[in-house]
Amino acid sequence: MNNKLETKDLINVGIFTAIYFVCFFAVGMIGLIPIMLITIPFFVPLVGGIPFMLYMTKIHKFGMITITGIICGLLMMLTGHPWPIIIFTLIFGLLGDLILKRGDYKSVKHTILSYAVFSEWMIGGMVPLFFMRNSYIKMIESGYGSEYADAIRNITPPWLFYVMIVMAFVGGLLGALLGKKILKKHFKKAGIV
Amino acid sequence: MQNEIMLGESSSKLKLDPRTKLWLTFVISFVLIGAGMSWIEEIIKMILVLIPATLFIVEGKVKKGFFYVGLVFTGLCLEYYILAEVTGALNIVVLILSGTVNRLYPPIMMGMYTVSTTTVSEFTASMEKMRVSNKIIIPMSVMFRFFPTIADESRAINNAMKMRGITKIDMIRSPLVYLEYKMVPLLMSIVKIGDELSAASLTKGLGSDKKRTNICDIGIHFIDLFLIIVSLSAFVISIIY
Repeated sequence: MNNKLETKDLINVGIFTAIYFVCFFAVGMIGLIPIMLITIPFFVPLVGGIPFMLYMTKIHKFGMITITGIICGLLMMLTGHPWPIIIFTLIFGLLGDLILKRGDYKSVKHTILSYAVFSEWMIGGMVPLFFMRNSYIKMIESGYGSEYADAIRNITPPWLFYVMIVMAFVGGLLGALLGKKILKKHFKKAGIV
Repeated sequence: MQNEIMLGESSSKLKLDPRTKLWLTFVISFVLIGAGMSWIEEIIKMILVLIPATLFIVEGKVKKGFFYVGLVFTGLCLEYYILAEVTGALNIVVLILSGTVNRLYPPIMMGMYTVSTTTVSEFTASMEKMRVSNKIIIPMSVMFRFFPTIADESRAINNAMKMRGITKIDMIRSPLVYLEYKMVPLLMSIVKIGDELSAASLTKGLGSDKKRTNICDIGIHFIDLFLIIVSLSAFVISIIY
């Protein structure tokens, strides 16, 4: 089998990255409500699981998830997120690809695991909040006023970072399962998968 | 908007280089989302806010341009004068309102301008000039082609759902059902359209190994240079402050 990415694969990457990113952005809007900000790493992978599981059925070659990751990272930077996000999208994209390859692109278990691991890239957006904490909160304070900054500071104790890692993973797992279920219920019948 | 995207060259009046537009989108979102409230930053914000407005007005979309400027300035006034006066829950509400309008609207407008005045050909040509790999260019141009399609399809599905009595309230009342009823038809049509697009572009030789030619006239002209210098200085100043 030819292992190089062909144009058809690249077009598929484009289509599914587009819809994945739209889901990401639509769900990410809940982050404007301060208390909901911390639930983003859970809800986004949950909703994104449906398009992504369909995407997974189209992946038979190495590198597609990595490209999706890089593009998501670029778009995130374009919409004003701090730069560390691109490192995360790259690393977790590669990991997702590696896991999928281990399962030979067929194994259901590896598909679900791969998506859950890939979902960890969202943590990249949270890194400045925890590891460059002071300067980031100062930035929020000067930009959004001290009440919002205080609210952010109070609801994000440092240990929350590790909780978020778990949340993203669990969200990814559940999202993948939900996606699988919906694939089975609708797309198999319609002959798309 | 869709016709615009399909054309080889955009019919826009002011032919900005796509690289300029991307750079402007990046600077506007970077500066506005992060900017503080000192006077120099306020001036930078004003200038950046006015860029997409001017572009839209030059393009002939006068109403859109003025509406946007009015909205953003209302938001700025809200943030500047009202925010300090109120406390507690009301403060958060005002903050979210003004914050959304001020910080998210300008980048979105700039993004809309970029997408609606750049054709896929122009985008590809400029990316090739930046020596970006095909592995990034193809998915990216497919994405830009797809965002308006997703919006259209989503609108159509919303209408169809309304007939079945499923409205936006169900997003809260029964999110899983809403998600399923919205996502499944959306994915179905997107996949179909994607397959067709794939076939069409392969027929047009996108898969060939030969280097593709492009007739789009891409280049940095005087007006590009001017906008780049303005936004670059805004970018540098906002980083220093």
